[in-house]
Amino acid sequence: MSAGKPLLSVRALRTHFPVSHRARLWAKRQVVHAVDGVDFDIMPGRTLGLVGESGSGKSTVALSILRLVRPTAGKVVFDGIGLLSLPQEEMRRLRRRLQIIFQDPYSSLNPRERVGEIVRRPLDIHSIGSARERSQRVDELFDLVGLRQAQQDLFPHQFSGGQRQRIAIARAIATFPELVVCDEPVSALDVAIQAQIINLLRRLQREFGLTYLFISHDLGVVREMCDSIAVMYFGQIVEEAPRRDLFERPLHPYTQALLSAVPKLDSDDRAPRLVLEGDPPNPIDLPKGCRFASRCPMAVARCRSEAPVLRRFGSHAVACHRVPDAEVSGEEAREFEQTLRGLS
Amino acid sequence: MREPHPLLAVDDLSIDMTVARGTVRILDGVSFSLASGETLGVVGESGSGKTMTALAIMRLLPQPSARLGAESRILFSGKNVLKLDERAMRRLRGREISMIFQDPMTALNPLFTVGEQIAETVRWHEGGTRAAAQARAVDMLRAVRIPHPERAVRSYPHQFSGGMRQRATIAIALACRPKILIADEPTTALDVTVQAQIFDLLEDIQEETGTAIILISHNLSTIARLTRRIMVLYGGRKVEEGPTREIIRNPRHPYTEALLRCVPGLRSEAEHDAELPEIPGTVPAPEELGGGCPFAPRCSHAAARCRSTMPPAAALGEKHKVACWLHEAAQSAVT
Repeated sequence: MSAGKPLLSVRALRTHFPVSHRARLWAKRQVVHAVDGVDFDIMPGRTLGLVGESGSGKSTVALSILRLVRPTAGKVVFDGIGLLSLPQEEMRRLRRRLQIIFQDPYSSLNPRERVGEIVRRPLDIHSIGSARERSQRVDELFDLVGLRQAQQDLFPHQFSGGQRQRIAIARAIATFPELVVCDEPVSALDVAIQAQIINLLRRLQREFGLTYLFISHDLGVVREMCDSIAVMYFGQIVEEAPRRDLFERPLHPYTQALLSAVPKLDSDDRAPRLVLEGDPPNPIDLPKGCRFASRCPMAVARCRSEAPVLRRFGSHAVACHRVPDAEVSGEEAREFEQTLRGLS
Repeated sequence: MREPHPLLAVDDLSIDMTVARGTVRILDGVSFSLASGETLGVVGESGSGKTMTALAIMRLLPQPSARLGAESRILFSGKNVLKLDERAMRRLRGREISMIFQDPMTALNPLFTVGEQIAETVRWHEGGTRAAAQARAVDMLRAVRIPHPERAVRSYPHQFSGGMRQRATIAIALACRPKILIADEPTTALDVTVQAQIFDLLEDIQEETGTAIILISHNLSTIARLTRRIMVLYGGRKVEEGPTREIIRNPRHPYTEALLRCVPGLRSEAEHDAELPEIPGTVPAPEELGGGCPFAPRCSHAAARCRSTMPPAAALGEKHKVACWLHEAAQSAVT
């Protein structure tokens, strides 16, 4: 899939937040390294999953790309345009091509606005079409996301969580965006409703060639949605691979642990799991070695002293000293996997 | 009944709720029992009545809007909890039956240290000195695997991570060694690795103390590992009940079957490009329920009878029960 250019390229992205209180009056101001050197590409029409636990920085990546928070350093290139140096006004105009869906459909919709207005608002802001065309577009959007046109006059509180997420999706795709950032769009929903929303997002992608950056802590959901997946731990990507590779041959011990924590349906499956012990590091005072070392069952001295870099083996990339340097399909790699299995 | 009394027997539990448009039945004739040391899973979507069932057992239903049906009985060790006065109920709550909730941040008081909140429960139920209660608090924090318990007792909830907070609420709930712990979506707000830790913890604690657990969730797959028996609620009705393994391998109610199929991420790579099976439509509001099966409007097998008459429970094997007209042949076996 080397053909074509990525729609979105992120390079060496860093977003640091100063901590508001100081330990002592003259102490140096401390900094949380929420995103600390992240690189990835998304090809047009594809979905990249960004997976990690709370505090891993995945949502900050989303907000940084859309300039909803100010990144400290790095490059974000969307369709050849560098977003981070773009003047405010141009960025505002570009927003019709980049949209976002948030996790909580309760707080992301204005409770005092009728939902038809909510969906129409981006069209008004970007002055798309005439008044009549905008109304037609809203009708069309309600059809697309599976709501009735007559429901446009209702208020958000008159809808269930799943229906509200449909409204948020209609609003996000109103301006024909190319990239939609989905930040945990189904995490607040019951499992039966999750399936409906996943199918809706996939259908819209097929129909309109949408590109998704899909953020989630739920590997099951990511597996349904994504073509490739990047796993984040404390502000950095520790592994990235096409979906099949990541699920069938995870290389990073953290990815292994995440996968083994996913509940399996068959209760007979009492296979020993790789349960993480130890505490995650302090995001202000990060260790100088691998950030996962304090919880990693495979850590050795080198892991605590030297930070691993993301190494690429074809389409699979991993940042771990313990993954052998040889081609990952090689004998050594298989041995490594067996060691991991033995540990879990 | 083989034993004199099961630890908990819920019998014909019905709840009517007063809403703006009148009165609606949100739970209708739900019966089940729980043995000492057992873990029962209760599965259902929002609006299925699972949380209301738990609140009814704790006698914490919203008042005065919720009313229990006249036939409803909740027997704890043979005593009808619904007949107890508030004083006796207060002695029961936290000491015999405890409950933990989905959001550990709202369950903890932000103004008191975690230690004080555990000690308060202990002193309320068992008296004793402040020092003894404090010592118990340290023991409880150790029991729920919180690192440095001596230091952690003096921490405030905001100093804890989400997983630690849920451990702290478990410590409070278990401080007086209750016979039953009701856990309502205890890990929904937590990350998967933390979720696995909390489930391991509940399993270990149950092994050590023999506490019976009622585990409530909207996702069958998350609680499958921990439970031996599962009850599926839909629209305020019990639609299926049976051993977890049997329910998962051979679900007999169309709703249970659909609920299992729609869990994301369990399909093989070969099926990936097909749509994820989904249950069309939404859970009906209580006022939309007629006399028929609550699942009929979304059920692909629904016939005219399903819409008019609620099917009685049918026994499929000794412990597996299902309320669906598809299994009519087996119905005569059950009353």
